[in-house]
Amino acid sequence: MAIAQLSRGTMYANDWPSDNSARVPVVGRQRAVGRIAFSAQQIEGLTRPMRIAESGSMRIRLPKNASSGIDAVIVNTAGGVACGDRFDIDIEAQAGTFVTVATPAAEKIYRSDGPISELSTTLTLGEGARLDWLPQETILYDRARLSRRLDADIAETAVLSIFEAVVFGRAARHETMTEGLFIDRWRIRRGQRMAYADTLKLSGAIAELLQKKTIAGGARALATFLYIAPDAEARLEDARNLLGTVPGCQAAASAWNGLLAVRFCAVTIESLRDAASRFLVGFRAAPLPRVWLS
Amino acid sequence: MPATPMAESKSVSASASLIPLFAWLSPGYPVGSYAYSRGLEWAVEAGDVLDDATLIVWLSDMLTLGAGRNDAILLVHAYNAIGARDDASFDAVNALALALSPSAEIYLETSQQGRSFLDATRAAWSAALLPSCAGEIAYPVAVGAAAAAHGIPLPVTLEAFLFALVQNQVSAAIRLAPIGQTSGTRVCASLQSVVIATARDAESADLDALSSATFRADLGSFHHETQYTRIFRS
Repeated sequence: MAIAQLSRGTMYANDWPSDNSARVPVVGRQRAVGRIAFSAQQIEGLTRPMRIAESGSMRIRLPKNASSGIDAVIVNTAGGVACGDRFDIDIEAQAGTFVTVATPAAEKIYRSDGPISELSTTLTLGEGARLDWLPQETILYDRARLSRRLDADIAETAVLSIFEAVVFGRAARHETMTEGLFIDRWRIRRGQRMAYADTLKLSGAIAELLQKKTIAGGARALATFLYIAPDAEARLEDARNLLGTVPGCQAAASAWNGLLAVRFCAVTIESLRDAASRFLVGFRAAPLPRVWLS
Repeated sequence: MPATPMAESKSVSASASLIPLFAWLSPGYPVGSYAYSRGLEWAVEAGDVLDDATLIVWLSDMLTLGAGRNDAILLVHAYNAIGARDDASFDAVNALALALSPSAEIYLETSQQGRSFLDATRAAWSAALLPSCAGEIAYPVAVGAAAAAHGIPLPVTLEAFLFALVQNQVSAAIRLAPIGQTSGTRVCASLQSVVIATARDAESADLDALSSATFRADLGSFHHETQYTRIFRS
């Protein structure tokens, strides 16, 4: 083990204690590229995998469960995202299916020496399909540079839930994100029409920007929950009632045009998780994905 | 793509009067701008805006890091689409502008003002290129369309649009009490350079440049929906 670590230390740039991939040479470093394409279809009332394609360090696991839906788990075996890496995730829930996607741990975005890492997620939902996209939080290390996009194309009768949280700097190490780049671009089309668009961009002196009242008021963990469904507006009171007061976390809901949005703005990831978990369990009337708890 | 309409608007600009712009962006134009605060009412309630200095910072952030810059970019693309007689691009910009609303109240603010602006302008300031737009229309898109249809130069349209936005917010701030009339006019004047810089930046920005950092200000517009006493619709 010691020998392996030593050799990794001399040969590789991504020498992180938790990173067992070590496949990124320092000299002539290539971007790591990974991709997952997954499609589910409905067969006799049950959701079944139809197509699974994996490449690079990205894997998808489909643990057995008791329900008629699929709980998919996406694993990045590289243990994080190094500078300039590019990962694509493509999930299709065909008509009538129910798919939940989660990740087993927070996604770590390492410090970059320049290049921007790119993460792209594409979600496609057929008529009557339900997809819950529930990855755990993304942790941006100091000087990380990430550009992320989420594109969803959903049928009028589909139900899509998205929860994405981001933490600026490693809290456990009392790290602030002095510099970096974070772009989070969401585009949701329903029945071919643009239904929701948002691009959050923080660039440069991120810790300073987060101090601004308009941006985060000193908070370091932000999250957005978006629910696009025919009953979205009818569920607004429901959503508000689930957003109790959690110390250190501001949260509120709004609903319009078949959309329901909840935003969380928290001093620590713990208080954000506390508020968001309570909300997600109540709103979905289901426990959190099992991998969130392990 | 924007080369043609820009050139066209420049050739018209020498003779185009700015009077329509003064009319459209005056507080008296029937779009109900007095009814909206774009989250400022909550910011005052929460203690984020409490005097001249905090108001200047708030408005400056909204211009450079938030909705002001985005609205300016959307106005530019609506203006160019009308100039190029490109209906598909115009519809796409409008759909994007409406979808960029982060909350119910901001959606109401842009769609209600956009509709009122277009109706009033078609009735009083008609022009061949002014679209009818059967569905909803976002406010900056409607203003951009009208300016292009009347051959009003883009740079001055952008500055006037953004400055009107500042004046409307300051007028809301005066009613919400933390500042007086005199300091209100000083706040407007002090934001002149930020308005000019934002207008310049927007003029050449493509739609991919649309972005905002004002997460907490947007969250404030969610909170405003359940604020106990309020005089504004946003």
